[in-house]
Amino acid sequence: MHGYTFQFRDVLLELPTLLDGALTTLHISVLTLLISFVVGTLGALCRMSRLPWLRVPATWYVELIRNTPLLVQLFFIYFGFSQIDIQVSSYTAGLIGLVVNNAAYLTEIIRAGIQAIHKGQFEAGYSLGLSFPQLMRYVVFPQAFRVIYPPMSNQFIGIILWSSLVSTISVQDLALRGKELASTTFRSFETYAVVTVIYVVMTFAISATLKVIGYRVFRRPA
Amino acid sequence: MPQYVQDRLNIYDAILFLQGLGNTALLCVCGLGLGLLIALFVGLARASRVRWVSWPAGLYIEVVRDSPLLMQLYLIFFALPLLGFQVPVFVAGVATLMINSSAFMAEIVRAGIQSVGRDQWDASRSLGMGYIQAMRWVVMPQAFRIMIPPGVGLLIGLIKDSSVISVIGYLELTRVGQILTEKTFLSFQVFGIVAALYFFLCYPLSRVALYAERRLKASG
Repeated sequence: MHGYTFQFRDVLLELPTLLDGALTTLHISVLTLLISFVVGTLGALCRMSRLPWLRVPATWYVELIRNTPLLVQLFFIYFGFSQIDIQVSSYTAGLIGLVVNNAAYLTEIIRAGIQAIHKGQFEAGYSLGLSFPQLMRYVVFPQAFRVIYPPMSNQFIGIILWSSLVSTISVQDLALRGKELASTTFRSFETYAVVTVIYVVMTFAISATLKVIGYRVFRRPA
Repeated sequence: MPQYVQDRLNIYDAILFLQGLGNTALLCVCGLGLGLLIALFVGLARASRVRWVSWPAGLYIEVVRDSPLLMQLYLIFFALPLLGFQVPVFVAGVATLMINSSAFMAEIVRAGIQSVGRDQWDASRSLGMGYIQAMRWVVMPQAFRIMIPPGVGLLIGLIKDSSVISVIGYLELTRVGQILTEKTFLSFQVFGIVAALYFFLCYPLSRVALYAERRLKASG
């Protein structure tokens, strides 16, 4: 030990910059969740389809994404776009990467939610003369959402944490702001400690809020 | 195009890919091994009914699980030298994976232990076994069965997470991809191969996890 003295002053003075980065992190995470939910729903319907030309590609999409790292997927998209001369901002590339990744996980979550619904519900819906979209809209999804909600909340927390990887393709999120601050103040330990605390507080607060919402909304026994 | 740029991949690049694959495997094996060791203690502490034992373990698990792996890596790699520890990239990488996986593994250990009925505890205690004996001979063998499917899932996660270690410059698979992209500009091909190699590591494991889970369900 050199007798290092901690100095949080320089770091805390730049707290607004870090919080601005945290806002970018939240922004990209919420967008990722919303778009992934739509893609994941389509993915789940394809994955359960009786038509092989829908089911097989959806299955392979899920397997391929879930068995390769997010970082590699991000690099594939970000550097791949520049190879074929398509100009996209790093934010867009990061968002696409996060969506492609998370939609695969949400596909599985939503599929499990739909499959948890009793077969009788489908039969009852059909015998009432509902079409497939109507059946999904009015019978299946409202019930499936209750099953989907808890794992989807966890997935959202995961998105926030893993979105830190988009800093490697230079999206100005919390992680990158932290890295820049560490290199300008030379206070790496203090900076990363503060940034980590921001992440922990953010995810803690959001997961607690989501739990309360879940309890309020789905309190009725299933 | 500058002189040093190659327009295609050659045999030396293939060797580099294999080296990256080997280093990724090495990172994961070391990270998992050490992580398991910590997880065993943290998981036992978390399952304890003594408040001041289970509470710190819970805090450790929560903080690690609620912070990004990238920040844990930066803290260990960039920050520890300031406190007087010089850490090589490999050690920093293993330490990060160890800490990260231990928190997730500890929850698996806890869930495994708590899935074994209380009567098993009571029975072994009434046979005159101590805490360690009861754990070793009665609870753990039963808990272990339950821990296998999520454990294999965690290993898959660890292999994927190890790609983050490339950020500090350790020559694992993703870092190899970055280097070859800079050399050849063939990003689709290079990262396609990198992804395929990760898939080659992870896919068989995900099948094993599925099989183990089905067997566990079938045996009740």
